[in-house]
Order: sequence, then C-alpha cells, then structure tokens
Amino acid sequence: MAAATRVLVCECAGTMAANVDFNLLERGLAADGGVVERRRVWCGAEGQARLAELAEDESDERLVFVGCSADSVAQRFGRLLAQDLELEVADVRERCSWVHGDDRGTVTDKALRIARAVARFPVARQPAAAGGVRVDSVVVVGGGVAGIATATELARLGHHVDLVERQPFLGGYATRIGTVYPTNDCGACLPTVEEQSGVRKCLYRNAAVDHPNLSIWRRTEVESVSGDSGEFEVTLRQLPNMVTADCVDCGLCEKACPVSGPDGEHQAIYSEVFDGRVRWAVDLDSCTFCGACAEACPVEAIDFTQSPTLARLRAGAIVAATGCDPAPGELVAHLGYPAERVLTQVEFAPLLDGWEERLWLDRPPVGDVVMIQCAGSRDLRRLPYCSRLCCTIALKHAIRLRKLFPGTRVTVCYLELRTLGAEGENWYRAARLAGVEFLRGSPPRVELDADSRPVLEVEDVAAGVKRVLRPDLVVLSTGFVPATDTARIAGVLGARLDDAGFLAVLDAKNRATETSAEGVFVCGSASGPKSLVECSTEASATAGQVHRYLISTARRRAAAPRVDAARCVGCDVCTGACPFGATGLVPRPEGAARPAGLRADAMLAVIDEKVCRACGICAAHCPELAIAPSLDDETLLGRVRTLVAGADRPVVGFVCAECAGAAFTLSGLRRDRYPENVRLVELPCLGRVSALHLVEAAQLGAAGIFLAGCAEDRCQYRRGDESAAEQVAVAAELLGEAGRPLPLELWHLCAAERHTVGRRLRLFCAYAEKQAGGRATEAALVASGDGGVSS
Amino acid sequence: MPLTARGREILGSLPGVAPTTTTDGIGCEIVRRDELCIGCGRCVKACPSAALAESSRFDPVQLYRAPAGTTRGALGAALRRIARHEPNGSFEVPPRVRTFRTIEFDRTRCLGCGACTRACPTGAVKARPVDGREAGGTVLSSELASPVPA
Repeated sequence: MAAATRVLVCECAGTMAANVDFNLLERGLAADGGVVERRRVWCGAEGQARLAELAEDESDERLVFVGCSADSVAQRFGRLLAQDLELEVADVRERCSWVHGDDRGTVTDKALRIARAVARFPVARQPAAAGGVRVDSVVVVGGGVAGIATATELARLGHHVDLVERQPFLGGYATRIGTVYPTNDCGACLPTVEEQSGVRKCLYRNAAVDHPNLSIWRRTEVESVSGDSGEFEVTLRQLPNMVTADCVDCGLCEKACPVSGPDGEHQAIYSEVFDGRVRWAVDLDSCTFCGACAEACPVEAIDFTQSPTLARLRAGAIVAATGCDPAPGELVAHLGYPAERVLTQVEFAPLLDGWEERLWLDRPPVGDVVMIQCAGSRDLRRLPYCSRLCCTIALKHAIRLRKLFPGTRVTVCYLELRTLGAEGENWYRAARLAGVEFLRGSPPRVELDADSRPVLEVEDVAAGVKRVLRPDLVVLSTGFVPATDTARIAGVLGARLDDAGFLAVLDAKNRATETSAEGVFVCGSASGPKSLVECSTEASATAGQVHRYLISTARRRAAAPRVDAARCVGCDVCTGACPFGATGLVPRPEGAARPAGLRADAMLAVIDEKVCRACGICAAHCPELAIAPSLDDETLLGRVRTLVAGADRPVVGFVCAECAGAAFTLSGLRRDRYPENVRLVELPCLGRVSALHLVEAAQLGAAGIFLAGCAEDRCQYRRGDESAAEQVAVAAELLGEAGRPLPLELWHLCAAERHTVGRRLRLFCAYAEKQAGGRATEAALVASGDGGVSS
Repeated sequence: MPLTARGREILGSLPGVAPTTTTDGIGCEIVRRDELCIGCGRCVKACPSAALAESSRFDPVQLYRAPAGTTRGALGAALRRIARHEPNGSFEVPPRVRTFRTIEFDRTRCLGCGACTRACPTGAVKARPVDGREAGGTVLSSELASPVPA
C-alpha cells in the first residue's frame, strides 16, 4: 500500500459488530503500512469535521473510506464531496456485513479483502476534461410549429436563435392542413407574449416571431456542421427569395406571371402561407426570369440580381425540428392508390374544405365514402410502426363529412382504433354519435371496376361475414415517414437514426429531447410522428433543456483513458468499439514512444476527452492492452486477486456502478442475505470487462462468474452490456476448450430488482457449488485411477 | 503466385499500386505470421483482390502462440495455467468482437501487391520477392530466414 493512503474505517455505530471484528480489520489494514483512522461513526458531527479537515489538507494523501456503500457515502458526505473531497469507497456494509450471517471469521476476512482491494489498488486519478465555452446561440433546423415554438421560447429566454427553414414560408404542415385534432381549429397559432391579448395568436400576428433575438433564415439548408458541442460552426446555404421586404402584398405580380409553377396550382411567383413576414416568393425551378412580374410590381420589390449565399454561424447548441412527411404513395399501391377515387387523408382535407365552401350550391358530392385505417402501416413489408395520428385524423374527417352531408354514408374499416386518452375516446364517441359506421376488418386490396369505381372485399370480423363495398370514394389513412432530408441532416449533425429512420432520442424515458450527439437536441415529429399538442409541449421541454445546457457551467466529470504510445500499434480496433466516436487515429508525433519493430508510418490512437464517457469499452477491445482507463487492468485484476485468491469456491461478480450497482446497494439495505463467497468487483460500465478478465478470474479459482449491468438494452454507455455479452461468449468458449467450464452468466438489473438480487445470488451460488463439486469428484476419480467409472 | 509480365504491366498501370521498382511490393510472395495477428482486419480492407477474408471462427491455439503483452498473449498465459488439455477446435465468435477474428488468406487469389503488408500494424504480414533478391524497403530478410510457423 502506498504510504500516502489514509484508510478511514467506520463501524457504523456498531451495526456491523455482529459479524465483523473491527480490531482484526484495523490490524490487517495497518499491517499494510497505511495510516488507519477508525471511528464508531464517521457521519456524525465529529467525523464530518475531521473529514473537512482532511479535505482541506494540502498533502496529496489518498483517502479510502471503509464502511457503507458509495451511494450512502454520497448522501452522508454530499456537502464535503461537492467541495473537492475525494473518497474512494470500500463497501463493507451493504455488500458485506449486512448481507451475511454470523460467521465472524469469514465475514471479517471478506471485509478485510474488500478494504484491501480498494486500498492497495487505487483508481488512477486523472484530471477531468476542462469544459469548453458554450456559445450563447442556437440554430433551430426546421420552421414548422415545433421549430418555431422552440425558437421563440429560446429567444424569449434570452438566447440568440437562428431559425432555418427550407421553404420560403414558415409553418410546416400544421399551417397547411386546415383544422387539427384534438382542438378542431387551425394549427398555426403560438402562445402569445405577455404584451399581447388572448392566450394564442396566429403566426402572422404573433409578436413572439418578431423577437429581436430571433433571426429567421428562409429557403435555407444546413450544409455542414463542424466543431464540438458548445462551439459548433454551422454553414448555411440560402437561396434568394427574389421578392424584397418592400413588397406591399398587392398580388399584381402573380397576375402578370406567365409561367405556371411545378404542381400547376399557382404561378411561378406565388404566395402560399402567410406567416406575417414574407408574402410572396419566386419558385426558382419553374421561373423563366422573364421579368413580367418585376414590370408589374408597383414598388420595385422584385430583385432578380439576388444570388444564393453561404453563411457561417457559431452556435452552442442545435435543435433538429425537421418533422415528418406523409407516407409515399408506393406504400399503398395495393390499395388502388393513386386513382381519381382513391385518396389519402392528407389529400382529402383540402377537398373537404372545398366542399364546405360550395355547400349551399351543391348536392352531396359523394354518397358513400370508405376510409381504410392503417393503410400501409403496421405491416412488416411496408411501414412496420403505428404513426399514432392517423386514427384520430380519420375520425375528425369522418365527423366533419357527416356533419356537412348527413346523407353521406361513411364507413371506417379498421383493425384497432388507437384513439388514446380521454380526448381520443371523445372523438370516437362523437363519430359514433354522428353516424359514422365502423367495420372491423382490413381489406387486403382495392380494385377499380370498369367505371373506375373502387371495389373492395373486406371480412367483417365482428359479424363473421365477407362484404363487398363499392363506395364512391376511398380515403386511405396512411402513416408518416421521416421528412425527406432527415438522414442527410442526421449525418451532418452526427446524430443517430432509429430503425424507422427518425432521429433517435438519447433515452426514450429520460432524455427524449436529446439526440445521440451532445449539444444536438430534437423536437417534434423529427423523432417520430406527433400531434400538435405533443409538438408544442415538447417545444417547451426542448427549449428548457437547451437553455439549461447553454447556461450551465458544470461539465461532465469523466476522465478519458490514457493511450500508452509504447504499446499502441494503430490498429484502429478501438475506433470501431467506441459507442461515442471518441477514439480515432492520428499520425504518431515525433519522439512519441513506440513498440519495438513498429513500422515507420504507424498511427497512434487518441481519445477525445470532450466526447469520451469513460466506459472503458475501448480498453476491453484493445488487442495490445494499450488503453488504460482510470480503472486500469492492473487495478482491476489486482482487486479481483485480492478478493478471490485463496477463498473457498469464490463466486466473482462484475457489477456496473450504474443501475446494477443501485440494485446491489438497495438489496444490501434490505439486508437480503447471500453467501459470503460472493465477491463483487465494481466497474464504471460492464463494457470494461474483457474475456481476459473473466479467464483470469477463473484462473484465480472462481467457481462461478456473473456480470450485472443495466436493464436490457438500457446500458447507460450504449453498448456496454452488448460488449460484455460478446466477451462472455468468447470467455465461455475459451474456458470450455480449456476443460474448465464454469457457470458464467450476464444479468440485467435495475433498482426494481432489489428484491431479487439476494435470491439470484443464493441460487447462482448453489448452482456454482454443485458444478464445482461435480468437477472435483470427477478430478478425484481421474486422479485415483478409477477412470471416471460411475459407481 | 508469381505474376506474369502481362500481370505486372496491368498492375503497374493501376492507380495507387504502381511500384517504384519492380521488386518493391508488386509481385512479391506474401508471408503471414499468424501468431502476430491481432484480428484488426486492416489487411482485409486493403486487399485489392479479395485474397483475404475475416473468418468468424477462432482457434484458441492462436492464443498460446501470441506474444506476451498483448490481449491474446495474456489470455494464452492465463489459459495455459488452467487448461486441462490442449484446445481441440475452433469456435464461433460474436460478430463485433475484433480481437478474436481469424484472417483467412487465399493464396490463389493473391496478386502479391503488398498492400496488406503496408496496412498491417503489427508486422504479421511480410512480402518477400519471389526471385530471392533483396527488395527495397518492404522485406526484412532476417525475419524470413527462419521457417515461418504454420
């Protein structure tokens, strides 16, 4: 033990006296040569004062606390720990005394081993990466409702915001689709600022959009992003609008324009959604630059000399609010789409608006409408997921149709209606009351007869009969897919996509507004189809998160592993292993140490401290043992040896400090007993484990090995449990080949498992005991020349 | 596989593999020392003729031969202490584990260009000229003097 180690032993007010002999423990630790300070209780006033004294002590002494678990220490000494007190904790309470029986000799021996393992093998103290500056500016990508709401909220919180929208007009789908559910009014409003009347106001008259902190970039795309989180440099490419701010909205230009726009609905100079700031825009693809509009313009607001520009912005954070698109037509080709009488709900909405306008002129335009739910969705060959919005959108349209034309028959073919919550159920009830028919069954295809009328055969599951429907109109409730550019933008931002191609959130339960890239946030349907209500709620949440991110001065305290240049050969295996992309290769610097015989141009691995989370997965994968995390191989194996060597049939447990660690602490607090031969080694993440550690543990005499990490697929370091599972598979094969198979299991634990930890361990120990016993008998038989013949 | 004159001409005209001298790289015999291999797969990526492939099967015998101070070597040492018998077969390795990849070399497809020797970080692949002349730079003849372990 290094002389500069001071061991603080806590008797926890005698609660461990039944099975731990503290005199023996103290003597054992003192024999190692360190200074031992023993107290009946350290968390009392006297102990706290002494700790404060030690914390202020200028000497470079290392403090090891032998007593309760790190979790309890953090609670008891939180105030001191916040003031630079550094304690390494050897838990002899929740992981030893409190969970074992009265065998004083064995339990004291185990407690001494636990204390020694920590005292003798220190975790390297590495300075945490210094936090960089965070630029007080945000780039919001996407000017739909989610993006605008986030941008205005952030601007009002005092940050500079650049809102980037691809289209000439803000508002996205919500402002273009008419009414929205569940409020059944338009979707283009934002909350008012304090100075304005009412509770919400349309985009075009909402003062929040004019906030001085907000710059709006229309017809702009994010071209590239460089730099680190907190200091991004964002390159934008902006196409010119051609119509300047002098425009007085007279519309003479559109009348003068001889060219029709791409979809034939408007001219090449056009107005689409009035967001209050820009009214007219020139469609650059169809415009022939004939100049007719410029001649017609009474205020000379049309400027054809404008050209595309590149802009570079600095930003502390980026919000992706790129939204979603309706599913493409190919996905519903089997349902007769596209045809004159087969539409999607998105196309049906403006049709309904048109019918409503002409209501007093015409008889009902259609007599019989069939809506097909889950069109192309929840189908493994097409869209595998549920888009969540389509059911309620269909109900909204069905009700509206029945109210406009009570004589029109509306049938909804469905398998399950997913109208969640009280609000959704109200829509369903309202639809039934309005006389919408519901037919449980999903037609496999829609065909067109000679008069191009749709014909569909559907099995009515409720009635148990097949029915043939010949409606005037089929409306398909199609799902939603990621917006066209999502994959490119994710690539530019360095954020991951989920299986469906939406932006993956960092953690569905706890970090739903963050992406896998630090400093890149997500809002609205970019991470999956969402209703407007959810989008605006999420906008506030995202704005709050970004605000906290920008103003926070605290930085993550993860110490990146060191790369030993004398061992690293530049094989690049670590780059493939790192779940965060923190590792990479650089040309070996002049004068850096190098392994013997290394080729002249060999590269050297480097770990980016700002990105690294210190999980140790790289170290577990390094073929040259060149990566040393703070819990390096020497310390890890030294601790295993101290805990295990010479013990009677030890069961070794590698436990992650996150969720599994919590389960063990809570289990210990419940005093759920398990055998003394369980020896626990704590790791920052299970990913730290390599096959080498497992084989070494077996070599030291382990009768069984288990690994405990976070709940399934919930590793807090993304791939730690996967990596550990792979290493376990390799180690199991190697031990099998070597003729020493032993019980080797990987468990997923969280705090909810605190009731099962004790039982698991008891069962596992019994199993390991049995296997070891069987092997011992076999070995004895072989040794006695009996040849293993069963008696 | 020695290259024909036509083969040399074709390879010489390819961008990026043009030799500075005729014996430097192109047309060499590739010698692999599998005990130095760490399974990183750089040679597989570098090979222009798909003569190299990653196998998902791994034979623990490789661990016993690996040099000390590497993961493979340390594992071999630990296994040697507990092994009851020599390992007698290879096993399937999970797809993302790199350190236990086996690199398979198909000699019949090798062009002898030496791209793998330039990619290999551990010196497990060497090139030696077929006609036995000293080559400029890429061949360490002293290492190749002893018979290459199987």
